[in-house]
Amino acid sequence: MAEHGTFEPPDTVEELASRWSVYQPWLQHDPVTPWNRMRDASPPIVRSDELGGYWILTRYEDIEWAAKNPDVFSSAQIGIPHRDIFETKQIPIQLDGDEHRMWRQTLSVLFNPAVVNHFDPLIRQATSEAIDKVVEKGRCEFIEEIAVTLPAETFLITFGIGREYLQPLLDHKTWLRKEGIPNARTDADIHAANKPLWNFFRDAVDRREAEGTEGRLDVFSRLLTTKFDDRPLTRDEMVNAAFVSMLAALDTTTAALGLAFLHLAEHPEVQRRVVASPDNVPAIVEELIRHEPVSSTGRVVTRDVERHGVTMRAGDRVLLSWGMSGRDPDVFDRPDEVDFDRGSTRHLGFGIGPHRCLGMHVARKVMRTAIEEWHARVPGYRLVEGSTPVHHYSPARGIASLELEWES
Amino acid sequence: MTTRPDTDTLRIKVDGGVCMGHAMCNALAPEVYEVDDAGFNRMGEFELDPAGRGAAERGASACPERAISFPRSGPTAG
Repeated sequence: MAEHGTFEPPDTVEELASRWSVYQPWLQHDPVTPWNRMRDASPPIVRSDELGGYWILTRYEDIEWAAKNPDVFSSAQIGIPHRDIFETKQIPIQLDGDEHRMWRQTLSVLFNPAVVNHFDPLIRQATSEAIDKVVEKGRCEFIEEIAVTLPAETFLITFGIGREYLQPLLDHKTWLRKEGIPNARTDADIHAANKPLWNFFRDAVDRREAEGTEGRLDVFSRLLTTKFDDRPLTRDEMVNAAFVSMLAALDTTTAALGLAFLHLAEHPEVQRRVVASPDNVPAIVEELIRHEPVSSTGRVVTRDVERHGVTMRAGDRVLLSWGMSGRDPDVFDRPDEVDFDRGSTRHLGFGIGPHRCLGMHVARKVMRTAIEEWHARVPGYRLVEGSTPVHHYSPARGIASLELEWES
Repeated sequence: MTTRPDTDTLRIKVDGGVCMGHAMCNALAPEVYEVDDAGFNRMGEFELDPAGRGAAERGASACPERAISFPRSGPTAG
């Protein structure tokens, strides 16, 4: 990766918009400052010529509007560029209409707050163990040792796969991200690259079924016993949903944890606030999710639609930068300041509308538990002097490495 | 122009038809807002001691669906 400063963003806001892409080298370190410039000095809807061309909605209210009009803004293409990573559509994020609604009904009960609270003791235990491993060292590389581990552990717990599969899961996922997908030229290549993880999940469902599902609240136990459209789910549907959940859950939560702990490490007064009263943690988590954009997704327009004098045509693609909407000055006072007592906190970090994040309650649990358990063991810490956190915008805005140290 | 004295009871309205189960109200003001197992707030319209105003507003302002409002009582109600 190039050093910060090597790639400067374009000078004009017109060029910022026309060349905007989460893959741009000059947006990797800090996409927020250029985004703010673009939003403040451009019309509400701008067009990027990158990746075949697409619209960018820069305002909170327009992102919300598009998300709440799924009949116009279809999820059939959720990436820019979009690739069909399975031979069938991804459940449920790539579905629209009644089919989507039915899958949401089947799946949303598996991730609701009561289920997440049921798994709290196990998530807390996994969190404590991960932190205990580094406490005595007096320093750690937070991303690898904590932020990658905790979402994966939580995923294995809530899906009923078992924590003993942590390393195989991470190995599969890392291979897919670093080699499988980048080396894939065709959709068939991607499907082949997905095979090892697909089999990993299929084997996990088989084991769950063999070991019994009675009285269990984990996702696989419930998928094995629930109905979709008055019929049992197929194995492929269960694996599809699990695969999609993993792709949606792991890197995003790792990114959010990294960004949150970077802020905490640079603000000892916030560390003291957590230590003084863990009751502050939910508000701290929400404000940091608002302030630190992580994810964006795409939509494809189903019929011509006009907004702010711009006509978006059927087939056009649209970028919805969920996290960036948290910096919109029309909705948030002093949007670039972190203020845990701010009046409005209605961020769209988890999206909005029928496709809003199915795992948002799980993600919040992971972040809150991490912050609570970390500060119970490491009440004061800082960035290792001379270390520089390396940011990235793609695939989810986050940090590649974060060196922390403390008195042990 | 008069503002309501702090001794007034605070009226809170949760629109169950708008609530989508984000559970943000409960996350930021658990002492005021209860949610069901699915994260939905089913409290409807209720009254609260004015001492809870800060928490009530905090929870309401976090709702991405704007499902929580504070209906005014008195002559301007309508």
